[in-house]
Amino acid sequence: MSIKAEEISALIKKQIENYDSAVQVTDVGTVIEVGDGIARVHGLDNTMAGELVEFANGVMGLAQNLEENNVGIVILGPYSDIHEGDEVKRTGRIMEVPVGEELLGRVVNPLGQPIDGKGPINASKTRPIENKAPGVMARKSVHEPLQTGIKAIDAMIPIGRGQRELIIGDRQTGKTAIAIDAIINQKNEDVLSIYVAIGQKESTVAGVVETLRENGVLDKTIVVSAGASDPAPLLYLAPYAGVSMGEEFMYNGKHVLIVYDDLSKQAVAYRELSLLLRRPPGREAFPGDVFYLHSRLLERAAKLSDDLGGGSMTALPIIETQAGDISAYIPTNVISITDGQIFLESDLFFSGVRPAVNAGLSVSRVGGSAQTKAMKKVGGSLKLDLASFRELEAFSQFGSDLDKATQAKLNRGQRIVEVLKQDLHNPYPVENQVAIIYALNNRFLDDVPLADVKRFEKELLSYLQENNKEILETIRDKKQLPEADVFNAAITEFKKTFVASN
Amino acid sequence: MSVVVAKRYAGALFEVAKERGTIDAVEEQLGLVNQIVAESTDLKKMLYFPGIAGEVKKKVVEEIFKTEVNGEVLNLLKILIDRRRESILEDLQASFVEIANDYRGILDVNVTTASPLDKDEEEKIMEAFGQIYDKKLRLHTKVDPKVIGGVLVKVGNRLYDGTLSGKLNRFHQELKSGR
Repeated sequence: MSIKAEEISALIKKQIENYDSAVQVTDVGTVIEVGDGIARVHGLDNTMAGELVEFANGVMGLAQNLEENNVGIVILGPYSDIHEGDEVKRTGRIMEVPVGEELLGRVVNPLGQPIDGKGPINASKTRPIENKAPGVMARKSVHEPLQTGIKAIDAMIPIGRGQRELIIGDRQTGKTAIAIDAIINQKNEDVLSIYVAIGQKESTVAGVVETLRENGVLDKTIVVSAGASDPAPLLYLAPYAGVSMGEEFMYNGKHVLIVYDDLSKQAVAYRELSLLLRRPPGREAFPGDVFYLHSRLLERAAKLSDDLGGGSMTALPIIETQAGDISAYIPTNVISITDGQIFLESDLFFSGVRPAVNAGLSVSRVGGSAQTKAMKKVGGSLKLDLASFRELEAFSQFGSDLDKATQAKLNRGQRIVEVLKQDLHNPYPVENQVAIIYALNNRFLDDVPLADVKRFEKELLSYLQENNKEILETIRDKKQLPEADVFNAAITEFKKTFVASN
Repeated sequence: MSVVVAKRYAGALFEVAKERGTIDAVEEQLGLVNQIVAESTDLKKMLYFPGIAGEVKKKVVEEIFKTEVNGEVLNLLKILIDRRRESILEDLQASFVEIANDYRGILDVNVTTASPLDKDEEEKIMEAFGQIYDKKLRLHTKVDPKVIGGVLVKVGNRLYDGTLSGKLNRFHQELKSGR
C-alpha cells in the first residue's frame, strides 16, 4: 500500500475547502477508573446501552453498565494510554460493522477492519451488530437441504437452509473439520459462507484460510477472526459482527452458511467481561444473561418467507465439551436453542471412524424435510440400522457363539460404519452419496471384504460416472431415485469387474 | 461509592441550609473549607489519617474554621469526622452545589478561553446560552492558552467546543482515518 504525495495533498485540499467552522456539541464524561479493559466513567448523561463512546486517544468503547453515577465501558482496543481524568465523548451511534460483497474473500476483525494485509475494504453499507431476529411472519419452515458433503451428516442428520445445527464434542474430535468441509462443499452451490473464529490461535486461523483458498471457496467466504490475543470484548462481539454481515446477504435473498468456532470461548470471554463489570455471577460464574447471549445470536439465523426474498442463514455453532460432558451449563443451553446437534466422540475418532459422529446422540429436529427425495429413501433406515448395530456390537463382545442372523447384522453394521467414513476436505456430491448408500442398503456390499469397502466405493462411483451417467444425473437433477432395475443392473454389472484384494 | 454517600450528606446539609436561609453562605463556606484543605497538605494528611482520634481532629477543625464558617458547616465537619467520612468532602461540595443550583434555578457555565474575556463578550455568551437553557446563568471563566482561540463552554456534562485546538484535533483525526 502506497499513497502518492499528490493524492494526499488533493485530499487535504478538499477537506480544507469543505471545512466548516461549526461548534461541535458533545456530551462528555471523565474516566474515574480504568483497568482490565474496563473503564468507569463519570458523567456521560443520556448514554444509550450499547452506545459507542470515544476516549481521548481515539480508542472506542462500548457503554455496557449504566449506573446511577457512572457508566461501565468496555474498551475496544489498547487501553494502555487511557488515564484517570481523561475525557470521554458520546458518539450517539450504536456499534456497526461494514457489510456487503466487498467483504467476501477477506479476513476481518470484529470491527470489520481488514487484518489480511490486502488493503482497505471499501464497503458502502453498514449494519448495527445488534439487530432483532426475524419474527414469526417473516419466516418460512426450513425445506431446502444444505448439503454438507459429509455422508454421515447428509444421510442421517440432514441440515436444512435456515437451520441451526450445533457441532459439539471434546477437543480434537474434528469439529472444525466438519464445519470447514461444509464450507468447502458450497463451492458450486449458491451459498455464501462466513467463518467466525473466536479465541483461536492466529496460526490455526491462517491454516483455515489457506485450506479455504486451496479448495477455491475463499472468494465466497468472509472470515471474521478475534484471536486469542485480542481483548475479551472483541471475542464477545465477533459472532454478532459475523451474523450482521450474513444478514445483509440473507435479507437480499441469498443463502448464507455461518460457522461460529466456537461459542464456548465466546461465553468465557463474556464471563470475563461481566465479572470485571461487577455483574453478579451465576452458575459456573457465568452471568445471568448468558443464555440470552447465545439465544439472541442464534435466533438471527432464519429461513425468510418468500415476501422477504426467501433468503436463509444456516448457523453451525461449535461447542467444545470437557471429557464428553454435554450436561455442563453452556452445552445444555446451546443444545436447547439449536435445532439439533452433531455429537462427535473421541473414542470413535481414535478408533478410526472419521468423521467421529455418534449417530445415537446426534439429531436434527428438522429431519427429513431438509432432504431430497432420493436421499430420504436411502437414508431413512440408516440411523436405525447403525443404532441396532452399536447395541449388538457391545453385546457380542461377551460371547463368541453367535447365530447366523446376528452375525449378518454385525456384518452389515461394520459395512455401514465403513461406508460412512470419509477423508478430510473431500466432500461428496449428493448423487455419489445416494449411490453408495443405495448399494449398501441393497446388500451389494455384504460380500465385499471390509478392507475393500473403500476401494469398492471409489471404483463404483467412477464406474457409474463413466458408464451410467444418467443414473447420477437423475439423482442430482430430478432429486429422485432411478428405477430400481436400472440401478441394480448397473451395480451388478460393476461388481462383476470388481476384484477383491488378497 | 463515595459519590453516592456524598449525595446523601449533601442532601441533608441542603435541607438544613434551606430552613435557615443560608444556602449561599453554606455553598461559599464549603468551597472555602475545601480550598483550605486542598492547600494545606498537613491538614489534609491529618484529616485523612485514620490513626488520629476523632476528638483531636474535631478540636483542630474547630480551631481553624470557628470564625470562618457557620454552625451548620462546622457541625457537618464534626459529623463527618465522627462517621469517618472525611474523604467525601470534595464530592460533598459538588453534590451540594448541584442540589442548590437545581433549587435556585441556577446553571453553572464554565468558559475557557485563550485570553481573558471582556464584559461585552461575557454578556454575549450569557445571552446565547440563556436562550438555550432558560435558567439563571452563573459564569465561571478560565484562561488557558492551550485552546489557542475561540471558546470552550462546558455546561454540566455537555461540551460546546468552538476552539481552534478542538478543530485542529478533529481535522487531525479526520486525516488519519480518511487517509
